[in-house]
Amino acid sequence: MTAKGLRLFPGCAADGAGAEYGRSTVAVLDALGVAVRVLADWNCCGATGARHEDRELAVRLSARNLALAAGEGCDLLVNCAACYNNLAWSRQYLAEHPQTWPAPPGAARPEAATVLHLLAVLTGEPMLERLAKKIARPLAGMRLACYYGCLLVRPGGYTHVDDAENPRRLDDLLRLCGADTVDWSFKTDCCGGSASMTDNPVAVELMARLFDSCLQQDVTALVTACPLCHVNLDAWQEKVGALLGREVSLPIYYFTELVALAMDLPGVDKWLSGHLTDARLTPRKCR
Amino acid sequence: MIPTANESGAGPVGAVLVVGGGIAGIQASLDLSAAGYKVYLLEKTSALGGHMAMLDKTFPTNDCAMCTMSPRLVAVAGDRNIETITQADLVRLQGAAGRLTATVRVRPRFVDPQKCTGCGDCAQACPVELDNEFNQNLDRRKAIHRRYPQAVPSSFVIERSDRPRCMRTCPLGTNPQGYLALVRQRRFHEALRTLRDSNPLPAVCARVCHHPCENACARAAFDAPVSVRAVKRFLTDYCAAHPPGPELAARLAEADKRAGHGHAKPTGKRVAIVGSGPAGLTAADGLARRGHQAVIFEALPVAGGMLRVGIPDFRLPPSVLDADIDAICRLGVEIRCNRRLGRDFTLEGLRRQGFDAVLVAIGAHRGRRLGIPGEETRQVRDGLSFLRNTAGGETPRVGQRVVVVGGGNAAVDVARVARRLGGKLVTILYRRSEAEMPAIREEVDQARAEGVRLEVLAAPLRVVTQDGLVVGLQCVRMALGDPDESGRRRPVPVPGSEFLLDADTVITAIGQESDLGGLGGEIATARDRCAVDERTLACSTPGVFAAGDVATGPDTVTGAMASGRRAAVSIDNYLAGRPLDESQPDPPPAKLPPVRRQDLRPPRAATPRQEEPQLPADWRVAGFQEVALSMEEAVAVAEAERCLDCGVCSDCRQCERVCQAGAIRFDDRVEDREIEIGGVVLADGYAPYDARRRGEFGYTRYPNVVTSLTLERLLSASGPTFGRIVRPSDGKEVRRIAFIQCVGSRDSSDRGHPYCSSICCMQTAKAAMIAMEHTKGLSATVFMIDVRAHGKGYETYYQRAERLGVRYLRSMPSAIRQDFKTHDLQIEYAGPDGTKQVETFDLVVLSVGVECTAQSAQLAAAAGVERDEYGFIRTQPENPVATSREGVLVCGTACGPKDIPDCVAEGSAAAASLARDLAPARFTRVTVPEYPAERDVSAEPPRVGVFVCHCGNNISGVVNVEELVSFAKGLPRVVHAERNLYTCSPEGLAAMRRAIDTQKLNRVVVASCTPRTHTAVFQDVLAQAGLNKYLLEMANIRDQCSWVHPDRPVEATRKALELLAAAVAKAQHLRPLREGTQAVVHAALVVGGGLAGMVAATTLASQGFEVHLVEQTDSLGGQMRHIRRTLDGLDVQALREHLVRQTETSPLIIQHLRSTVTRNRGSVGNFESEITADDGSRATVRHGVTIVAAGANMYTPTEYGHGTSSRVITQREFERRLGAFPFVPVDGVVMIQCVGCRNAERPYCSRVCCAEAVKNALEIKAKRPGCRVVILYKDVRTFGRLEKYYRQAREAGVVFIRYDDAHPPQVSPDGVVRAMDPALGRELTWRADVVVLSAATVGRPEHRALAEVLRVPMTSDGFFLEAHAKLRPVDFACEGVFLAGTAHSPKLIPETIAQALAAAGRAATILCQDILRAGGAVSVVNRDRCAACLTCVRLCPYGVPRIEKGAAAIEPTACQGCGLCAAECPAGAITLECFTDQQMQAAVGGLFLETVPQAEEAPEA
Repeated sequence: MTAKGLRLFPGCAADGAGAEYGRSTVAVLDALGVAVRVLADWNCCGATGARHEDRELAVRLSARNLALAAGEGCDLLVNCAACYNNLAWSRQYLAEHPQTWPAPPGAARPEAATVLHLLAVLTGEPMLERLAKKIARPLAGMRLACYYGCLLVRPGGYTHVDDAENPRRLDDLLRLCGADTVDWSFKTDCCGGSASMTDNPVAVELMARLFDSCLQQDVTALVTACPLCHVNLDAWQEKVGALLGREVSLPIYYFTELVALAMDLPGVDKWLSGHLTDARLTPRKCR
Repeated sequence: MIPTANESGAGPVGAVLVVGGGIAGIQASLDLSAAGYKVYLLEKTSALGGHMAMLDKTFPTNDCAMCTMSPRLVAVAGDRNIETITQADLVRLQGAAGRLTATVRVRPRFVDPQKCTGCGDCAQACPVELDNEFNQNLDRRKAIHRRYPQAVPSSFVIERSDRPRCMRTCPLGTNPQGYLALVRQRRFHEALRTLRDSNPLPAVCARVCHHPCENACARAAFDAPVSVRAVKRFLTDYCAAHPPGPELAARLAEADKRAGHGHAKPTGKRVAIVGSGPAGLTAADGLARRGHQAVIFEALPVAGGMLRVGIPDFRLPPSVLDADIDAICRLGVEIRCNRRLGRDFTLEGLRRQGFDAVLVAIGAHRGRRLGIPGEETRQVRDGLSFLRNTAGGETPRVGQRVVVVGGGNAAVDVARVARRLGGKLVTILYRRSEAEMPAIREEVDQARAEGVRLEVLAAPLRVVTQDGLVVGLQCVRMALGDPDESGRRRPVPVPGSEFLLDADTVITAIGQESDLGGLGGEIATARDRCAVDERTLACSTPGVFAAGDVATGPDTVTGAMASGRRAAVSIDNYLAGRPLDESQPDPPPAKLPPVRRQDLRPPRAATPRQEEPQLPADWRVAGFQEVALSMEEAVAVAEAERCLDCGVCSDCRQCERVCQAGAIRFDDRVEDREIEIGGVVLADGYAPYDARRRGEFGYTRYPNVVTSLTLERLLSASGPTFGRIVRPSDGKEVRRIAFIQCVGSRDSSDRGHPYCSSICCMQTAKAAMIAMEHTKGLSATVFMIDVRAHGKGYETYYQRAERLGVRYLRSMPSAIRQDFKTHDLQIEYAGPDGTKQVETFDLVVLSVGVECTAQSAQLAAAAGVERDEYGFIRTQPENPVATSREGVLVCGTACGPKDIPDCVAEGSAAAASLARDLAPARFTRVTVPEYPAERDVSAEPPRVGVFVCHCGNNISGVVNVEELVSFAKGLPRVVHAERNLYTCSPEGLAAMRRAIDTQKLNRVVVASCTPRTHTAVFQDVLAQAGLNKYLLEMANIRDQCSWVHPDRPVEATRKALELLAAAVAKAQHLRPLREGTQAVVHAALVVGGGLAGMVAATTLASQGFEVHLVEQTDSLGGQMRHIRRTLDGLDVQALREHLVRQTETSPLIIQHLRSTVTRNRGSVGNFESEITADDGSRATVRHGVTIVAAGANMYTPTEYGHGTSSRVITQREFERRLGAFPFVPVDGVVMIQCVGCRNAERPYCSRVCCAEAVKNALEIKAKRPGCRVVILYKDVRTFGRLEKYYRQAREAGVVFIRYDDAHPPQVSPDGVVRAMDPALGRELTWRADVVVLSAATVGRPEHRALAEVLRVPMTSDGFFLEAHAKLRPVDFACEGVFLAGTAHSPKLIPETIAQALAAAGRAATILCQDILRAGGAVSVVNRDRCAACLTCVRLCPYGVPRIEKGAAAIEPTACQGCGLCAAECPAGAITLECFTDQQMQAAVGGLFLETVPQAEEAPEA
């Protein structure tokens, strides 16, 4: 963690498909006493469309966001895995190719701001200690498969995860919240999120492998740290079920929702009722 | 002839240091010792053997690694000029080549290797089990252990780190890890012994200790600390309820005695102890154990002090205290009650009574006052007196509403007693917060459960009375301010927060102080304590000491006990006249470093902490019944299982208790040692790549993903599964196994190494085949890039693997996935047709590469040598075993990946280099044993002495040794029989020597362990006693009897009797044997004047030996004339010129050019050869050794139009063109690999051609970057460091296309080359200006004749055949004949140099001697019976027998004594001495006991 202040980069999902993620993020940070303001005048990070069309454009989009945070003497806190990946990668690219984004007069250099993912911040030692004291409603009975996806962990060179092949931070965090988590072999495999619109059968096949693997272990839910994964895994379970030849209906949680639940914060029920696949808390969700 | 020794000190030192005890270091040591140098062999682990000792079989011969290596280990152990120093590292090397001083740091072994007999009783007794790293953690071993059963040295070693955390925090230094480990094994009485060693009040502490051990317990890093106190409670209860039976009691007592516990002789000194509290009792116990008479004076009518009157019965029942005190009294401690200091006696009076020292341990029994108004009211009581009254059997009256002031254990006890005496509303008032309460946490919780209320952060201001009765306590709220000197935050009153607490009884328990009135001012005091020296507890008056609360202020029970212990040590020192602080323990550290999970072994199971069971709270308050209950046995054992053994060795000292040899040395320390030497050989070996760095393969995450070394252990018959290949996850037999090659090798990412590890391909081929042999129907799949089978015999071995069905897939999987239910493993890969495949396996083996050891940087720095880019020791291009520092050589994998034969050759090469440089100091530092003249026993009738070994418990625990001895005494001709604890110990050997002298023995029979390791030891005793050493016979009653029949002692004893009878019967027929001698001709014959021949010749000549160098052409240089430089950049022509000049100018080298060897006879040390020149002239030379360095040829291709098309040339021609001036440019080059080999006719790989092709490709690319270069290959075999150049070539744009035998490339006369690319699945076409063929290296036709003349064997491929593919790569089976260079097999220039040095070094070990001594137990021929049928000649694996004058002749100096010829000779003409027919018949007779009398009657031969 850093001693500098933080600005939250909400990304486009926070007010749209990933609204629950955005709200639960703010709620959790508030409850843990982390003062975070949203980055003012932020723009698209460039992760989705831009990056595939013009990599330098994606870098420049990120550069502006980074420079805004740097200008306030702050680091950037990101909860979307796609934004995080692109911002972190862009920052590294900018360090090596500063001419990509010639700073306007008076503007700060974008590389001065560090990019932090919410998961890394919440699993820092002091934050875990703080959280441990605030667990009011342990997630007993939940058996979770933590899904990290690809953008959060790879490449290890700039995503700064604990272990790119077998990340465990999400598991550690949710265990602290009282849940049981399972080890599984697909926790960093691609869910096909970027292909679900353009080549849906490919995406469904990729998802089917994930679901097949974690359902074998009788999990009660899957947990993500990425709004793109979330919407993908949440939306296509019927098709996945058809491919696997069995009914699939597995709640997909944002990890922040569960942390909030463990701290017994208000609003959790409302967020959970917004999911496509029924994620509301019923005894069925707990073994 | 031999250079004379230089004793003056100006010349070099005749001793060397070899760092690393793997196979390379062992070879170097044996060679150097044989060459006349003293060797210090340094090994970082506890035993020699290195990685080779871990292997199952070795390729390509499938010999058992341990079987082939074990004789070498035994040879090192038996070599008196090799001093093995284990657990040692080189830390500094000073001086210059020839005279160096090495500083060696020896880590403690904790076992005296001189005394340890290797019996293993200690490991049996050791309760601490750890992962067995030798078996790759597949099974477990003890903290005291031997690396592997055949380990040399055979001595055990204790793995011991710092003391465990629990032990370090205990004020008393008790050892929870030790007794937990014993409880885990249900060895409860031994556990109690361990506990009692440091704690004389175990049952008391099991109830009242504040257990700092639990607070420090490392298990908390995973879940929660071990319930140490609860387990201790169970343990003391169990032992009290189940006293040991007589047998166990006797065993325990004997063990105690052995370890010297509680068996001090009475000293006659008397010590008076005032006070029988924990301090006094502990001091008394310590003094009594040291042999002093301790008398305790107690003021109260009962003993126990505060334990008795300060702790309520529901925490510590009086009967428990009584039992502990009784145990102390049984040591001879006397307790006199009702004797109060100052009232009944004085300190001075005690001394007048004749006490030699006095200990004041009167405790602190007076409660402190609050000092507030109203305190003097009657209902305000002092807590201590309240408790004392209760303990005395009174039931003090308390009101309904009781307020107890204080936060310590006394306050909590008072509150709980008050509840039991009828207090309805009992409140504890404490001024700080609950977290600051000094009371034991559990006690507070229990009090609360019993209904006691806590009022914290509040302090009393005054007692409110009404009518003289207490009605309440006026209090004020407190807040926590800054920390005070105790580290706790200071409470400060909150203004205006006063409140009234209703109360009818107020009891104060805010602390206690000592009543010093009784001292009468005889010793100095300070405040309310005795003034003492903090460390020794001595008072102002000599001979008077103080301990416990009166010396330290109020403390915990264990604190008081620790103080009593300290006083006992001081008093013992005082009485013995030693300095008082001698051997005083250090107090526990104030704070331990935090536990880090990554430093710990993970828990064995996720068992949660078990708390101590308790009475239900509502039962408790009804009376004074003990609240805490004993755990169930199973629960306690499970709880003890939770201990992580974080201290490794638990210091329980069970080993010390069982070791009958007295070999355990707990006081061993790290020691630095300085050694004078002339040179150093670094042979530190390699480390296997840590497969965890390739996380995608899930090593350590998925149990069935293992490394190649793990598989070796699984395959090994002596491994943890006895050769069964089972899955670590569930023990199920493996049916589908996959290998992933190049894990950590050929990997240019930062997680791996860019070089090729050279050995893994063959290791996998071997393991796959052996696995298929072990499990019928097992399928093996290998995922690989190229198969690198570049060594001698490797290609055919690999082809055999393919033929047997090992499936090779050219595909590298990117991940392994596990099915978490079944632990099956899934691999997704690209199939041969490029489609995605998914397959399931039971076990996946990661073929991990070789990397430099973790210590290599440190070692290089210490030795002052450079390392290369990969961390290996850097070598010199012209000498592959020379480092950057003169006098420091390197060999084996310490300087790069290589296989065993190369390691062995380099070991010999390094030894040769050093031996050459130190030649003037040869034989100056070695010792030659001197023996008395042998006694002539031929006229004496056999007088047999029998020595039966107990081997600690190993034999005597099963076999009745007394019976064996009395049986032996009854056997014919046995005049002496005795038994020894260890016959091989110094005492045992001395006894044998004595018996030989006094009983005039002339035959010795030892019934003990294995002759394999011990024959030489006992033979030496015979020689010292003047007996011929062949008059010894051994009966193996351990490995072949007691160890195999441990459960059937009666039958085992009978078998031992039979084995002994056989040995005794045979012994009567033993005869003294003479060893023959052979004078050595100090000259060598070197055949071949190429690189190998010149290196060998100059190496020998520079040591002063004459060399006859025979070369068939008219000039020196051989094949190296055609090579300009190596891939590494070595200028080959400069090297050639240098060597030729050296050869030609050496006065000792006699060149025989245009000559061949035409005849040869004689044997090692004395050969005679005829050398014939091409003009027909002949010369006869005599020589002691022969080195074959006859080289090889290049194949002349007939394929691809070579010889008909000028475009088609060989690599050699191409290399010449590249070097020609002016350079003729080309724009298209296609190279074709494997021309003339790896085919049916020559099924071997020529090893050097891939490197040659890459070399030439890089050169053409450098000269003409636009030139298109294509290399058509089968496998790219740029092994080891050469991989770097393969990569460079690809980066330079060289195109590599694979072809297979089914689709060989097509070359048309106009230079169009077509090849089928299997990756693309289509044919490719190139136009080539030149087509370059990589032609095979082939043996020379004239080699056959040479082999016949020298009587040495050849391979079917036309190369010479060495004695053993792995361990004797430069020796022929025929003694005195050696092999080097490409005559052995194709090899690179540095490899040839190493091998030539090795051959010269091996040769020098013979040439440096004046006389060869051999024979003894060898085969002898009865010429009269011999029919000259040639059976022996054909059979002998060493080629020794020859037909001379119509009968077989066996040269005793060459015979290895294997006995094959004797067994097979159809005429029965050959006898193997020591195993004559007569001897064997006698032995068989002895085996069947009833026939013994007949054997006795048989007439003597």
